[in-house]
Amino acid sequence: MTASADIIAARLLGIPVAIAAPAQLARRLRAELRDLLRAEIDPSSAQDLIRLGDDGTVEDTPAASIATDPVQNALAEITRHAVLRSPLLCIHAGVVAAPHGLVAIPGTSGHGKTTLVAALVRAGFGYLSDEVLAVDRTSLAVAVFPRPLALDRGSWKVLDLDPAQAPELERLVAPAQLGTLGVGGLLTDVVLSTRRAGEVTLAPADRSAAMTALLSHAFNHYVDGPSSFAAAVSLARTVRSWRAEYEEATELAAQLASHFGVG
Amino acid sequence: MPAPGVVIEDLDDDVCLYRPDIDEVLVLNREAGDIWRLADGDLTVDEIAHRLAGAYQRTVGDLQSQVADVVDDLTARGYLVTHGPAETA
Repeated sequence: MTASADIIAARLLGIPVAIAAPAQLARRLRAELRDLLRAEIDPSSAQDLIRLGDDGTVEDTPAASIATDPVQNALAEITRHAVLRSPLLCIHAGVVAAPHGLVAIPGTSGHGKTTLVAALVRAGFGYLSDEVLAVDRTSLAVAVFPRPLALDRGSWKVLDLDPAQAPELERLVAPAQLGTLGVGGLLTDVVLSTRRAGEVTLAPADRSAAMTALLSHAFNHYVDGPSSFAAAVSLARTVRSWRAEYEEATELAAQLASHFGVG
Repeated sequence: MPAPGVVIEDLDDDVCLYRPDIDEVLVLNREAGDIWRLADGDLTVDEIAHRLAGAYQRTVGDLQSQVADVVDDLTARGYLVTHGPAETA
């Protein structure tokens, strides 16, 4: 930690967190993670302190990310910390807002979730998160976690973004560059998506499939297994469950936009 | 009978079971769920098959092996435990 460390404090996934970072990195975090850190709070009220080094990682801890951009590393550290400490049930999923409610797309890293979420936001859905579906286990209210989206060169092309701005490898993109932010609310749909060659298909699925997908992609269900299970079942009871197969994210996004009356 | 600690939730026609000790979820379809509900420790496999035969309008013979398979599988997975007479589920 350098002497010129700056402190940013914000409420993330229901917990007040302070982030100590070298001044230059802190300035970039405030600018590039502005949507995520918009709920700034008094640092003295923070329960936890994340100490970031110049490269954006936490010293003496296995890094959550080894990107060359310190902001990407910092984002990974902040996400990991918030998810592990959150009182909310945190599920690995993209979340977007439609006029009738929130839509979740559970999936692991490498599943194409971020590209699909970016395509959905480009199609008119509101953005809540590309990574975390955070649900109150009792009220089932969903909290926002509007991280910038890490898009690689391939996603850039699929999304038909400005080729002159295309990254060499990967770049964080502010949600505002893709569309609009959504607000928290209740989940109404779960889309179980699979990549495969061919036309887009979208068909109803059993709610039990949604329940098992939500629970199997949970980051922190083990904190309280029985209540997490009950929350996943309660969520599944209230949503419509869909199975989607697609090749290109933009094609599925267009189909979902049409289906949910978006745009 | 259900093993101690198993958490049970109905979801549409399915029965969802959760074992906190191993952090495992099992989803039973309607027929397996019906067998689960009847495997309360008071009925034998044959008695469960008789009950379901009436409800499904199938023969007891058709259902006996299916009931036995489900009970054996749920027992092997630790969701059911047996007590008393060997055949009591």
